[in-house]
Amino acid sequence: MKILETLGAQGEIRIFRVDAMPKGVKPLSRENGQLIIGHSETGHHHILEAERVQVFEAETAPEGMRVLYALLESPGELKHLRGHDTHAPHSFEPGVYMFRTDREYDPYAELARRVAD
Amino acid sequence: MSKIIREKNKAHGGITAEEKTRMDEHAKLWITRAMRTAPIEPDKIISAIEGIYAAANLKKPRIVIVPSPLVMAFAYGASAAIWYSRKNGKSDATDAATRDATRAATRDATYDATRAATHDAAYAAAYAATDDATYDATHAATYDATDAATHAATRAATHAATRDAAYDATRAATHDAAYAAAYAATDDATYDATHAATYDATRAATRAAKGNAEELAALACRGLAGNFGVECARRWSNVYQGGNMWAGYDCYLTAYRDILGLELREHAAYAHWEQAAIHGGYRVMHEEFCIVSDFPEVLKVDDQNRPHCETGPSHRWRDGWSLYHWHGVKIPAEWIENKKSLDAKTALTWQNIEQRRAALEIVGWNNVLRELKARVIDEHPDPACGSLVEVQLPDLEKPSRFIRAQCGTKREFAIGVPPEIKTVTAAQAWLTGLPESQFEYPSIRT
Repeated sequence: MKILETLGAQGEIRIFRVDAMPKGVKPLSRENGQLIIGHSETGHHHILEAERVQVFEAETAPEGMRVLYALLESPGELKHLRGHDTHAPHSFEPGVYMFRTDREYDPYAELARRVAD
Repeated sequence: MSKIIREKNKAHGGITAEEKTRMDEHAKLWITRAMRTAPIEPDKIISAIEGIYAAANLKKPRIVIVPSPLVMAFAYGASAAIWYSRKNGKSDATDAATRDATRAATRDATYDATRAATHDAAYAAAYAATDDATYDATHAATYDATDAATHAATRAATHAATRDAAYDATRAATHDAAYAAAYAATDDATYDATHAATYDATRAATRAAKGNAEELAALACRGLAGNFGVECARRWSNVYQGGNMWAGYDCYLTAYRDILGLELREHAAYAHWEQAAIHGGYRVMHEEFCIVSDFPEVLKVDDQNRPHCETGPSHRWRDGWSLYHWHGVKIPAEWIENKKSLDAKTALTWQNIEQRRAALEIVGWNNVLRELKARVIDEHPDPACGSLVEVQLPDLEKPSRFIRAQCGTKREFAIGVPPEIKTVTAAQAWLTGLPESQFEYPSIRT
């Protein structure tokens, strides 16, 4: 799998177009009907919407990270569910995309963890 | 624009400039209603709720006005549990407080073993009590008979162009203004209170209450109706209606009637719903009772209508239940009430990044950098890429490094990176989990 293009970032979610779905991924289940790309403690999730889409999670990822891949067979959109300070949506053509949620370093615990909002 | 048609049962062709002007005023009126802080007027809200039940062909409920959504949620839990137990021939819900009091003495020893079983049983019963008994019979029925019916009839009477224009001018405008300031904050806080606090209350049965409002309310609920009542309280959101907090939709529906001139037979039943949206806050709808919350007495927002107050609570209801927000982000009360409790270290290392950003703003970036003897290691000319800052945190031997950067919404964040990182680009690559050789800055940030 190669990164073809660094497309953008929606808050802590970084978005890449890639050439193929990599090996070592497992299907991501919907939660309340939604494909959640980035979880939020306060419910302000980042969700992927498309008519025909499958999302997979990499079985291995760098410490503290979650890496997802989306196979879009129809146009799609990454939306941020917040009523204020909303990160604007990103639109995609059909293709294969990678979403990487930023991590951060905790100097007291001396470990990496997912950025939580 | 296609031909404007205005008839009693038809509104097609979009909206005119004059109608748009009137809709802007209409939206302001409903925003004012959503932001109301004047006390509830019992005669008006009781009449409105009785009308809603009558429109749904339900018997007149007992209507109780409570001071806050917090009390509403827990009063609902206790009441729903007691009613369910009475109707199903189970007296144990009302006896639960007694039983639990005696159980408490031995609970420490058996806590783990009993909690799971108690929780499972209470959850199943609460589900039945709150969903089966009330949702279909009451909440859905009253909504269907009033708001939903009017919405369906309005859609049938209007054309997409008119609907879209009216929607933008009314619901979207009102919703945008009221949502962040009032609805979302209240909803989130009540949800948190009835989940975290009920868990604490159940778990803390043998402990003294900590004294915060949420936990005391949960304990009171438990005293009245046991764990069953607490589990029912957790499910308040399955049977609630938003009152003035759902002003956006009512603004939209009433604009068709009051500005575009629709006169639909569904408006008669809807009028009760509308009055309840004007004269009451959150409410829970049960076949036997309705509990409706008063409005907050304090509701403060910033220039973008986000809940915000630098000197006190953003929301306070008349029973004292208070919420604190910093430009839309809920924060601990002590950060405002006792600003000395928030120091630079706490601000910079707070786990939730949104609250961390708020904390850094409250303390002030300059104060944080000075207090922690910060020095800039590397700086990128684009503030979205940021600067790499080294600080000396208390209790740590080695200095720590943080990226200080703007996100796509132009708000400034601080994110920790490993101490061996030497450049902004290396830090940004590490955040993304990519080797620096594969890393590129994103061209579009939102």
